[in-house]
Amino acid sequence: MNKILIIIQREYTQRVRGKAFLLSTLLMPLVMLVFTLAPILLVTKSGGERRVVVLDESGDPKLFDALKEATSDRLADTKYQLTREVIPPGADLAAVRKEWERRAIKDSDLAYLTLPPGVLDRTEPEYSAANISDFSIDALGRALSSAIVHRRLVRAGVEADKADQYTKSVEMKKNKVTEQGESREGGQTFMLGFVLLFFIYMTTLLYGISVMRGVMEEKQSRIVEIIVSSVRPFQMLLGKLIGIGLVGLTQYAVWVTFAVLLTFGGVHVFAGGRSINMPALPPGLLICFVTYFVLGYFLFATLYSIVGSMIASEEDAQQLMFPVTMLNVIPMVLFWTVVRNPNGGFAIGMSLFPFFAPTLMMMRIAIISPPVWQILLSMLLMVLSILGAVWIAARIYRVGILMYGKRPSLAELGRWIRYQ
Amino acid sequence: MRNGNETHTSVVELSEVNKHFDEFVAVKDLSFNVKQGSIFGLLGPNGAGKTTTIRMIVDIFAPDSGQIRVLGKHVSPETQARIGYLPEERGLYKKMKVGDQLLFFARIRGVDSAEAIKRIDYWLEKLELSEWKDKKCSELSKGMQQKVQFIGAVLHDPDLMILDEPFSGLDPVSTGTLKKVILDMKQQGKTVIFSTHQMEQVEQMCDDICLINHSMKVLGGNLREIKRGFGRNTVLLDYDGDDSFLNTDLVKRINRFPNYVEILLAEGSDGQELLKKAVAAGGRVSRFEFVEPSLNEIFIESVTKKHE
Repeated sequence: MNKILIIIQREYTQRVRGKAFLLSTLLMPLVMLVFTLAPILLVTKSGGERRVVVLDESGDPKLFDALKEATSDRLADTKYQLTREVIPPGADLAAVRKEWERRAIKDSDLAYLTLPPGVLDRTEPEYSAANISDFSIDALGRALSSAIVHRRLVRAGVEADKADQYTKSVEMKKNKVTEQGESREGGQTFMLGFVLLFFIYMTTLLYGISVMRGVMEEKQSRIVEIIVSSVRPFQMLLGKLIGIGLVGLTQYAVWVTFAVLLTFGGVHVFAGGRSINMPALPPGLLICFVTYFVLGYFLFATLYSIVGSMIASEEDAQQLMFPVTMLNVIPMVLFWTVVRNPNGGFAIGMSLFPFFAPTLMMMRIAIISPPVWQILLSMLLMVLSILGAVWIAARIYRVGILMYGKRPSLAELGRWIRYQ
Repeated sequence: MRNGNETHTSVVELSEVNKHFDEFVAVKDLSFNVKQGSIFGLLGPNGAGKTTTIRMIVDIFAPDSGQIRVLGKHVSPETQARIGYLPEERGLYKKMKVGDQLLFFARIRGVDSAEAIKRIDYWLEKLELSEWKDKKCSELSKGMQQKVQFIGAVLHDPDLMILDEPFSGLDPVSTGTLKKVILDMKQQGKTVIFSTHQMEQVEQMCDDICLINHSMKVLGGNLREIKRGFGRNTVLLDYDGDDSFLNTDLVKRINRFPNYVEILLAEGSDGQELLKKAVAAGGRVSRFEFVEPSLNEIFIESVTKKHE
């Protein structure tokens, strides 16, 4: 036991003193910030001015004015400059559109909006531009919709002033229902879920690989042979896993402390003039966060230690770590599906799978409140998987670290596990 | 401390030890005793089973069958703690400071920190590494790293040292220093198992040897007796002139050295005949001496004979 403590101490102090620790502690939240803010900033970047030529065949001259009125404010940070080109009935619309199409291809800030005859009744308006993946277009669509409704009301005999009131758009508030009662909410829980998922993903990957590199270094530098002549390989392995895990926990302690301090003040994150209220972090969520990190770390780090003890050269490392890294990355692909229907069978199943649980269950806990039994079951399954992984790792490790030649085949691995 | 050569207490006893990995037989029916206070040479070509044997003595591997006793006890973490093991394949943590690294080695071998720090200073001083104590190991030359590794193996004051190629990478001055340290340990009654391919070093330092080849012992016992057993069938010849007369049935094998030729006579042949040929060839004979074969010669002879 004492020897494990000495190994833990070495692993811990060597790493915490290193520059890499300080850097990753500071950089991870920064990277995270960039990740969460980038989409918002990108949307904002779509701003600027957009010239829209309205090809008006509607036959209602007031429709354009109503539309102009509705777009007089910035729409999602984009300023719309509308000009009208009236297409008289019987004119060749196709030829006119062809001409604008030609220009719009060259000028990405130019768009043309076709208002066909009967647009007040059933026919659909069309927006055409080189870039149509701009969020502000939806806002333009809503403005157009309200302008058309406005004109319909007027046509039906409603006074113009009244029609303004009737077409005033309505914003819907969203409330998240939790144990703590209702709270106002604007997409932050998703962001919080994503942040937690991302941290667990990054740290299990980072520290898992750190364990692999540690095992590899000891094997390649041949220092193992000196150590195993006084310490059992299993003690070495356990000491390394715990020591590096404690480094990770230290980092988490720093992050959680900062997060709690920040959210106490009700911090606003500013992005392109919009502010987002950081949601408060309930203690239960933080406990799950740390627990899933610890479990996820032990599971992945144990697998990475197996890889490390099998590696004979640097080139092997990339190849052999691939399957383990895949297990870590897959949830990052699946999480969208889980977010869309967090209580569906797929989401529940995937979030119970031990390798995906730390990330996906964490995500579900952040956005909905899954039944407690699901959380506990996922943790239990993880603990069982960890025990299994450690058992296998210990058997491969004790042989692998002293095999300097080539890397083993699967059949050889099987024999290593069976060696007495 | 008693003098081991007189009391003949065995520090290491192997009897009928076998070890295999899958189909590969690494060690077969190996037995030998290492006397207390002696320097014991464990010799053999690469892949003969030396490292596996050593790993069993230090309890990294368990034998499949047979007995290994160290200091009178079955191998265990307890006997492990009394061995100072310097493996052939060895290394250091590159990013750790020399002092920290040695402290780590001492502590995993059960020395408490305060005592370890004293011993580290003593040994760094003795091997002229004091000024490197706070340097990272990656900044050390290969020879210096070897010395640090040696210190790591002796910090817990072991009764038995197992040194596998201890002088590789060392300059002659450091080799001399280290040899003196090893001989001092012998003087203090400590036992050394010494594994190397440098036969001159074995001849200088070892009392007893065990030569293994293809996982089996081919030769063992007191070095002087072994050499005597081979008889004076070897001639050292220093000759000026054309020595093509050596191409004769009288000669089994020759080893050329800068100043002389070592000639192993064919079985039953008379050395005097060779001398006559040398004189008849017209050159000048400045040395013609019958000697016991060198260990190098014995090594090659034993290893190739067994193989034939």
